[in-house]
Amino acid sequence: MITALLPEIIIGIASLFFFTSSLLDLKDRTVVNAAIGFSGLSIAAALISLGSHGDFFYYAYGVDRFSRFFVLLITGTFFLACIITKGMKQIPSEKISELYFFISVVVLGLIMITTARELITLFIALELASYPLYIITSYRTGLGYQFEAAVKYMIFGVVSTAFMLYGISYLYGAFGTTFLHEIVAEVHGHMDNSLAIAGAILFLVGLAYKLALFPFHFWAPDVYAGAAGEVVTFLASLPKLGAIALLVRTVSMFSGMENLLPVLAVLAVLSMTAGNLMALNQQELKRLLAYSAVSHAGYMFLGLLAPDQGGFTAMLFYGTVYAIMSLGAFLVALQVAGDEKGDIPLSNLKGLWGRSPLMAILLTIALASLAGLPPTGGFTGKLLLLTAAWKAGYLWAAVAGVLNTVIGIYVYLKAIKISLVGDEEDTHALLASPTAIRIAAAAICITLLYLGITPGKLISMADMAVNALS
Amino acid sequence: MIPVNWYLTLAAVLFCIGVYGFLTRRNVVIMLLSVELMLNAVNLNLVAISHYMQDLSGQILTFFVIAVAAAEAAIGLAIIVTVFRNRRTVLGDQITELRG
Repeated sequence: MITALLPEIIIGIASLFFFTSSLLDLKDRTVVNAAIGFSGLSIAAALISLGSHGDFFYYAYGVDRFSRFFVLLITGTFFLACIITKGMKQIPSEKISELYFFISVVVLGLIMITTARELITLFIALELASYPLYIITSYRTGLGYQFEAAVKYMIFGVVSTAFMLYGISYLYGAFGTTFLHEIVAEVHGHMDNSLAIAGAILFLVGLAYKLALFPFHFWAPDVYAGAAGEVVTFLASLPKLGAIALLVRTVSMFSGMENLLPVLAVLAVLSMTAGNLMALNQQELKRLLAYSAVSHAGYMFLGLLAPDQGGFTAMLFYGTVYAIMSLGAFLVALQVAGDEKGDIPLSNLKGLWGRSPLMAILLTIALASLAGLPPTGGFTGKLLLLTAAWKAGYLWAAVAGVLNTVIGIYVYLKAIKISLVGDEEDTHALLASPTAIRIAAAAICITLLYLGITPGKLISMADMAVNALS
Repeated sequence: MIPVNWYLTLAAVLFCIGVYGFLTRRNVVIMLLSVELMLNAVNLNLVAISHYMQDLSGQILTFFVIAVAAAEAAIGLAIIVTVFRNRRTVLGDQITELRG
């Protein structure tokens, strides 16, 4: 019984620990190592609880294979992000404990999102995972526009929350219950109920914001550019996983609503096109990655169109790969950020091959994966998503996806070119990365290639997770 | 007894006023106030539906919404105060160093 909730308990202890340590005067190194230790421990806990089942709090909190798959994914991302951000160059020293406290709370909230089976619990979990992010966006040394990023993130975030709550109130009105399994049981009687449809759409608007889908994306570039690189590393990978889990769970619930799917298809295509087009002229690495996040949110939405043709499995696979490849890109971004406190212009990548071949290889593989080139995991993921959409009869959406991949290749190859072909005179000092960072870099490279060449194991895991839903 | 539809309509109107205020006002504090208005529309919805269906979970959710709205105001105002200290303004169109 207790093993099912082990990851939650470990992360809860971690957040209490960092809350206490923010009041004490500990060395930065101690705190960072504690974070890596706790996140490593949480992976072990997630592995132990992987196969467990259980219903808690009168069915409001249900541990199943789907939720534990995402818990493993979230804790894994948490661990990797903790190692990547080990340097903490852009974070003021006295804020490091607080940062880890807030991140632990976010992770706890995300775990609860993937496990909650009741709308009130879901709402609390979502807020638990959102509010700390607004605060840590403003943690950055120097400059002064991180606060602007925080204001934008917060103000649009609370509006999306309000929309989502309004949707929840309509869903409650239509179905008379807040339990998801009771809603699923009744959903077929409410196909034409305008209250239910309006509720579902408003609910999805809130989720689209969290995923930075096209018309709700405007916060993403500013927050990515304004916040510290370390914060963005967490912010770009973790909340996306929670949003994917929630999308799959709720859309599988509403998948009978025929009128909803074409709307999702249009949103998906708009998002990937807009993201790619706006990424074309970006000169700053974090901003480029923000627009890439917008277009990838579009790709992931394609999976929702094909609930019966393996779309959800493809989405879970792509979510995993996306977390890994964006972490890879941010690892390089943090390494080339240098000591100057400003942004990370693409010109910082010049001559990267001469400065650190490993970083150049990682950047090439991560960006190739983001672009969807074989033999990386990104290619396999895109292939799965596009075939699922095609099989479900959304041929035009699949074609738009393929065309977008071509634009994407141009965007990412431009950055790769700068890193590989830069002039030798521009070569700054050699990049001496710590051993842990280099091990993480090599691990990310190998994982991305492994998932590209032999994706079977992850697909079958994702399949089992999706099957646990029905 | 007043029919439940009247409450739902009132809540929808309140929500729309909130959205309108959010979109048209320049002052970030007023924008935050508009969001509070939207959240109160949600509360009205929940309480009306909950009373209509004789089911308590809607009213419980209302308590959570009120608590969460308080937390949101605390975080929001804290961030706005730091912006004001840095920039000497809380007007949305003057906080524009970052352009989407």
